[in-house]
Amino acid sequence: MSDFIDEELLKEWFEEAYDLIDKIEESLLVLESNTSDTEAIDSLFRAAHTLKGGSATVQFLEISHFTHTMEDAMDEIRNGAVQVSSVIVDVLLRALDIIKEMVAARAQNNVYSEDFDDTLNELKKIAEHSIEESPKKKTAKKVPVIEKKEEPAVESSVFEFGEYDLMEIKQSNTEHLPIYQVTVDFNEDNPMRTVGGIQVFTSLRDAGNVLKTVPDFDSLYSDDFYQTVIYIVATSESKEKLQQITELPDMTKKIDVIPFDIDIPEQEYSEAEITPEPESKKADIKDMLSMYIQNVPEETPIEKAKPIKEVKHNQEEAPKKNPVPTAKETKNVTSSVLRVDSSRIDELLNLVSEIVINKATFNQLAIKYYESIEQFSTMINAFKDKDKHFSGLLTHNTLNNNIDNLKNEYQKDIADFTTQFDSFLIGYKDIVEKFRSTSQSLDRISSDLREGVMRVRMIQIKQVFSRFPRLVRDLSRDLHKEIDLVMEGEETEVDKAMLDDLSDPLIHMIRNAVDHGMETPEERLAAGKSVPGIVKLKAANEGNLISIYISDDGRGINPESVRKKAIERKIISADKQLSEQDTFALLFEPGFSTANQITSVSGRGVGLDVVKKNIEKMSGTVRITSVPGEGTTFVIKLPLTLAIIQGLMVRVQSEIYVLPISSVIESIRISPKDIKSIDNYEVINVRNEVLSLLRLSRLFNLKKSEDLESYFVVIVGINDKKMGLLVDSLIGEEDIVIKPLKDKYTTTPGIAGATVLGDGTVSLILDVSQIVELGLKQEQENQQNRKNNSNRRN
Amino acid sequence: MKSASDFPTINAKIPDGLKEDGSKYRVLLVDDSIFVKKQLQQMLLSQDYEVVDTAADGEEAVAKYKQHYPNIDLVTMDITMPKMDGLTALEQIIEFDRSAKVVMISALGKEELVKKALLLGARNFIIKPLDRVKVLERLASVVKR
Repeated sequence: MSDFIDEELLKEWFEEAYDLIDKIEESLLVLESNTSDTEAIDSLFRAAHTLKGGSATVQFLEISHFTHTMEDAMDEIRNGAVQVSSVIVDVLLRALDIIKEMVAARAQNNVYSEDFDDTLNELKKIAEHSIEESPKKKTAKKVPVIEKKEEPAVESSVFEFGEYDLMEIKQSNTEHLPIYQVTVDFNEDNPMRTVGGIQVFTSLRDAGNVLKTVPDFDSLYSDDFYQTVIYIVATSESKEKLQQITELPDMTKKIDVIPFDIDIPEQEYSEAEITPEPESKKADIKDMLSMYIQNVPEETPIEKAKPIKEVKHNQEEAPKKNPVPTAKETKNVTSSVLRVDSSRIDELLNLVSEIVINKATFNQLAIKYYESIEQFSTMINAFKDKDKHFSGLLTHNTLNNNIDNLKNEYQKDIADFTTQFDSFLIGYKDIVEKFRSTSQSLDRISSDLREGVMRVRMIQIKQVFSRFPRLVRDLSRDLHKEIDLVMEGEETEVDKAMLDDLSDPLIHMIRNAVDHGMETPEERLAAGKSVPGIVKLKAANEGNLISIYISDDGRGINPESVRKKAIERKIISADKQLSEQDTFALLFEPGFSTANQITSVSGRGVGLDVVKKNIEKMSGTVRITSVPGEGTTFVIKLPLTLAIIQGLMVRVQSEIYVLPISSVIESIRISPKDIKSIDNYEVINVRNEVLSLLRLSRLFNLKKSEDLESYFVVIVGINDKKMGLLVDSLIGEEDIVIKPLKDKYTTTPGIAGATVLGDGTVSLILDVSQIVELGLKQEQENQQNRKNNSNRRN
Repeated sequence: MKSASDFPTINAKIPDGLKEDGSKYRVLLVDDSIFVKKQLQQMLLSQDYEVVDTAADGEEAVAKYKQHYPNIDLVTMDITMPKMDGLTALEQIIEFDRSAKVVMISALGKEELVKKALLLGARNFIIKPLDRVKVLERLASVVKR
């Protein structure tokens, strides 16, 4: 294994790590409800084991050390020496949280720096069977303790090298000197801190042979700073001397020198071999070997004969790499990775081959068109010649004598031409027909292709849902509520881009359901309701939309109290009449909160407005229905994909804009005199409904052009708000591929993105929900200005 | 109860330039800046080092080292100098005397050159602007090791 870790490998590792973390969490929750579920225990152990091995491969030492301890603990559980209890599950969940943060820190190119000794010690206690209240504490099955002879502090800092590294170290120690592992913590405050790695290297080099460093020499030589560096040194100097020469004033912070004996694990191993349950023993070399085996599927020849048997054993246990073929929700480093079912790629490949054929047909047609033109021009030239010929004859005096001849000749020639023209026409019609069918098939292929690519981006919503059981468990525990989480439609597929943005809003709404929606068990019993309460999370495909329901059977929302609060907060005026739906919509207003008390869980009324904004950003909608005493349901509706939308193209002067068809209700033609002004608003009357009108030309500050005889009004609607947009003309519907705009333009309100039209011009895609808001505001301001101006003039 | 000697005085922190037998460590100062040379000289003299000679460029440094050899215990070597830079001078001095103790003087931001120098055999480095305590600590750690 080389020291060089390429980005691809890292991405793979992150993918796998997130997978394994999910798996551990899932198993832990299963374990909590059924403490003797051996399947869950096994899967837990395997996941921790794989995670440890992988982290060591990518040299994320803190993760591999930590998971190593976790694995130790799980191993004791697995072999039955320790009985699972809720205390243990808690410790393991806490440990998992730390692992999550470690991985997250690594994803940000950081290293987890919080103190985790408490949890580490608790894990160790589990491994040593000394955690309190474990009934089968010292069972007969307990494995003789032959492990670590070293003191724990040292043990935790032993870096696990792969087998290859060990061999390399062994071989390069040609003088068979004692080997030490020198672990150096560098002072990050030193202005020349990046020199430290090399400086220690040179000092150690003077004292002996530096066999290996982690990170490798090139990394140390690079401009990067490494907080902790491990040097493997073969030297005849004493441990104390090494310590002394490594120490550099204000450069090194902490130095740890420990003997690095390649043979020690082997001895431990043979001792373990005698014990009745050898696979439960964690002799270091075995871990190193099995770790190596996991990462290199092919079995490589291994130095020692004995371990091979064991290695094979471990290999069977080790889960296959990437056991779940689904793509994984990831962050940062990993966010660009998409795992796709290969059959979907095959479909795309099929379509591409069809396009290639299609292109060949078009090429042929192009040749045929060219030939037709040649043929046609030959005919025209012949025709012109004849024309000249006859005009010449007609102007001569010979006309009288040869009139009959001329007539015959003329008729014959015309008949010739007619035949030629007819046959040309037939041939040409063929070509046009062929062209039309080819272009039709191109149309079909491209829409299939579009769908295919879209499906590649589709990911099961399970990946977001999977974290909620833990969330609900933790929340209900914190709030002393009893809740069952029911999930449905986890296989519903969502665009990957959306999946990432969906997580936060969902977490927020679930928190809301658990915190505000759900009653305490006492309240529920008093109300004659069942305990535990149910929070249901459901995703479903509904036509062109994806719906997500978050419902609880809790206390529900009282519209009257929402109304009161809104009046109190001056969000609405006291005399405002609102439908129930509109009343619930007030909950999404900034700064609104119905909970009487602020809890740490659902926050302080900031949030639901952000939830709504986030969902609208994805062109989605969210609404609430609730029945007091029976429960509340949030419904999120999202488009299938964000990449391609159906758009209505409209023209405003010379500009073409695209409106997402999902928000277009209808379009009508009006004449300027239909525009009325009420209370400083421009409005139109559509079937006895008064709609406020917004001129796009005014919104985007386009220059005033001549008045037209008639305009079109596109009526758009978002969340029950309706509005008319005044445009010059409608161009038509089209599938629009959304291209994101560069950052500095995305802040421009009212614009959701851009697209490239067929002729290459760029057209802006409008964000209807923003425009509706913006439009109302701007209209008001403009009219206010106009009013002020006219007042001044008066 | 703490006695007065438990509290280190400022001077107690700074190691001196005396060998175990009481004689002075002998230093060759190499720097093209007169100011730096002077500053360093003052620091060294204050702690009882002996400044054997000074040089203003790499060529001169190599020549002076050979001239005084083996009566030099330490060389402080600037990295950027006219005629011959500090790295080349270091290389030639080490080539001449494998056990030569050379400490590089570097400005901030020249990490790469410092690393090179360390790999070539420089024993340590000090950073400009010079901090008296740190400089003396480092030099002592080199000569007394």
